[in-house]
Parts: sequence; C-alpha cells; structure tokens
Amino acid sequence: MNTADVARVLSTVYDPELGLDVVSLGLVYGIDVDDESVTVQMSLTSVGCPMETVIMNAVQAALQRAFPRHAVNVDVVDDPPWRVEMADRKALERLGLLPASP
Amino acid sequence: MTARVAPQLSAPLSVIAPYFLLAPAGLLVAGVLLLGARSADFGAINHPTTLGITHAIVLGWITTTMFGATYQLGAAVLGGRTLPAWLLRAQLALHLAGVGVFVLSFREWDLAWLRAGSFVLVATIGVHLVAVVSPLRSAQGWPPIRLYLLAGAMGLAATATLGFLWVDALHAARYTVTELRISAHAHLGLVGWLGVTLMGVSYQLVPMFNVINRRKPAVPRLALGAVIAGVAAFVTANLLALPGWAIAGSGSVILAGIGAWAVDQWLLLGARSRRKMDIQGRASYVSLGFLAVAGGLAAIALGRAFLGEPLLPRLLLAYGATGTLGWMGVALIGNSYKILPFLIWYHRYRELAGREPVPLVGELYSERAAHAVVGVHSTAVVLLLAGLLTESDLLTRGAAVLLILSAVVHVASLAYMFVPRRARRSVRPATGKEVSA
Repeated sequence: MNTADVARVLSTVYDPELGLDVVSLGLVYGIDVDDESVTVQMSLTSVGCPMETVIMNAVQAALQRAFPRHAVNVDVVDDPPWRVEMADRKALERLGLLPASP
Repeated sequence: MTARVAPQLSAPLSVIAPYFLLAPAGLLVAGVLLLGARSADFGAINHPTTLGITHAIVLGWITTTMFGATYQLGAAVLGGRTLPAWLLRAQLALHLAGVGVFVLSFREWDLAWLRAGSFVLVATIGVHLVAVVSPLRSAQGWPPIRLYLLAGAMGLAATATLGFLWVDALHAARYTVTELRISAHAHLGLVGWLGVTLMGVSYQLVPMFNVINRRKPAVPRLALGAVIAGVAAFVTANLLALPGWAIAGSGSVILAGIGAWAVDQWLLLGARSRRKMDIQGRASYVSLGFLAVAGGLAAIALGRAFLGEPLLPRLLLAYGATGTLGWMGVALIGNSYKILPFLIWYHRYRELAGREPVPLVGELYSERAAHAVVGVHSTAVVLLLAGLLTESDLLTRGAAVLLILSAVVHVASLAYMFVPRRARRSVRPATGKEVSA
C-alpha cells in the first residue's frame, strides 16, 4: 500500500453538496502511510462547511473499509485555508471556473 | 466570520420539515385573499383585507419559515440546546391556528376573535424567544449570525408587544391605532425582526453554499448597527408623531444600513468560487434586485415625508409587498432548496456516505421545479407591484393567481424531496480489493 492507493480511495469520497470528490477538490493536503497506520491531512472548502463531520466520517469509513488492518487518522487543518486554485481541472470545470472540456 | 456548523445539534428533521412544508399555506391564503380583493381595499394601509393579506404573508409564511430555519441553524451554528420536539410541534400547530384565526378575524373585522388570535400568537412567539435563548447564550465569540439573531429576537419581542397593544386597543377602544402607529409596528416586524434575521442568516448561508472564502463580509456590524439605530429612531418618531424630517431621517438610516448589507452581499456573491450558480445563488441575486426596488420606493416615501406631503397608501403597500414577497420571499424560497435537502440528506444518508453510493444533496430536489417556483413567484411580485401602483384589478388578480400557483408548486417541490431515491452517480465506495493493501 502506498500514498497513491490511499488517494485512489479518497477519490471515491464525494462532497455531497458540491458533487466533487475530495481529491479533485484539492482538499487532501497530505497522506502518510506506514505499516500500521494511514494518516490523512485535509481541509474543507470553508470554515463553516455544514458537511464537515459528514465528509470526515465518510473519509474515515472509506479508508477503514479499504485498509482494515491499518489505523486511520483524519486530521482537519485550516492552515493553509483551501482556495479554489487547489482544485484540479475537472473540479474547476464543474464549479464553472473553466470552460468545459470538449 | 462564518461560524462552524454542527448539524447534529439542530432539531430533528421531523420537527423542522413541517415548518417549511406548512409555512407556504400562509402565502396560499394571502393569494386567495388577494384574488378576492378590490382596488379600493388598497386605498389604506389599515383596511381589513390589506391587514389580513399582510399578516398571512408575514406571520403565516415568512415568520413560520424563519422559525424552522432558526431551529435548524441556531443550535447547529451557535451551539446550545433546542427545545423538546413535542414543544416545537405544539408551537407550530398553535402558531398556524393562531395565524388562521388572526387573518380571518382581520378579514371579517371580528375584534373578539382577533384578540383571541393575538393571545395565541404571543404565546407561540414567546416559545420561539425561549428557543433561541440557549443557542444565543452558548455561542463562542460574536459571529455576525449571533448578533443578528439576537437583534432579530429583540425586534420580534418588540413587534409582538406593539401588535398585542394595538389589538387590545382596537378591542377595548382605548385609543386610536393611527397609521403612524401601524407603521411603527410594521417596520419593527419587517425590518427589526424579519429583515435583520434574514440578513444574519444570509451572512452564514451565502458564503457557505456558494463557497466564498476569498472575501470576508466587510460591514456586518456597521450594517446591523445602522439598522438597529434607524429602526429604534423610526419607531419612536412614528409613535410620537414627530415631524416628517424625523421620520425621513431615521428611515434613511435604516435604508443606509440595509443598503450596506446589500452591497456586502453583492460583493460576497461576486467572489464566489462556485461560479456555476444553483437555485440559491440565483435567488439571492433576484432577491437583492427586489430589495433595490423596495429601497427605491421607500426612498420616495421618505422624500414625501420630509416634504410634509401626505402618505400614499399604495406606495407604502407596493414597497412593503416588494420587500416582503420580493426581497425576503425569494431569498426564503432559494434557501429552502438548500436547508431542507441538506437536512434530509443528513438525516438519511450521512451514515452511508463512504460505505455505499448515496445521492448528492442536489439530487434530492428538482432544480427545474425550484427555478419555476422562483420565476412564477417573482413574476407575481412584479405584477402585484404594477397592480398596486396603477390601481389595476387585473394585474393584482393576475399576481394573486401566480402567488397561489407558486405556493402550490413550492410545497409539491419541497414534498418531492422526501421521496427516497438512489444515487445517480456511478461511484462506488472503495473496497480493499481495489488497492494492494
């Protein structure tokens, strides 16, 4: 298991309000993997995000399901605050910040 | 500036949803009364039909929705406890019954029943004020929403007090309830309670739902301070029947405060990361447009007061209708398509997220139906405005039909959210088989 595997799992967790996965949105700031644990550092689109606990629990559940023998830690960080520029092209298109790809 | 949200602290869905689903009955009743009204009914702001219609809109639709929204947002955003579910359910039932009695007794000018209705409404408003005490006391710091909800609660208490006194005065023929006294009560309710609460809720919801983090609200405290000072002075000027310059001056301070808030909201919306707007974003812009029109009409009325010219009831009603149905109404409709789907999603799917496919919040309602509601309702407001200003029964009745239609479609659209549905998105939660664990 490596960080790319963790990222693949995280890309199945969606912000249910925006309809975009947490990786595409650029919410995942860091992934640490060792033999016993997976630690994810991530943020939210806004401080007042009403989906904070939902997204955190979904991330926790998805990682626990994919890596049942590892302890899963999800740290929410506010610094640096999320900016829309952190999202990838697909997310920017969905948010209406880029013209849609042909 | 936007407070953190803990939705698990808000009242349960089964308590909050009925507020949203039943509140449009007030709009429906107002539409029916408007349909049966004649042009002459709008020749005075204290005509029984006019009072019935305005109270159906303000107490029935907008206040009931505000109650539900406050029970959802109050504890979730500020902390504290909500009142027991049975008490909130009893409050809703009593409030709707009280509004029904109140509106019909205005229409029939039955002062005994009007007084009975006022007792019920004072009780339900009292329950609301008790309900907001815990969140207001529990909040950390002073985010804008705490300040605005506190000011709104005080405005509601003052509005109810004056309203109760006026009804009692009518019933016992103690003194004359002049147009200036009605104006004091109306502005306390429309601006001091509903306007201020909506402004505060917008400072929380607009940045949250439109993903705005590149800009912070610039003037929430300044705007609130101006509105509070302006309302206090305006109400005093009306109650004491001070000269027109005092009414015009204090009214201008209210306009300046609301105007500063509106500019702040406009700038916030312009800084949104979510450029592709949904119903809430579009409704916010339409609502601000109506606020601008209402502000223009109010400025004309204040100018006339300053010059010592007589009140024009139709101008005042047009400005009141644009402010309540247009500014507040459209904003409430737009926010309903965020608050209720979120609650339903949170109630039904939060435990399943990450474990199995779940629908997105936006998949719980029909965006097309929501836009239709805003479109029909906004057209109704424009027709009503035109009908009031041109004394056209045809336009006013057209507005009434559209208001009834928008209320019916709105309720149907909200009820549709409760239909269970499966995820449309072809996303499956990850399993251990997909990665080399």
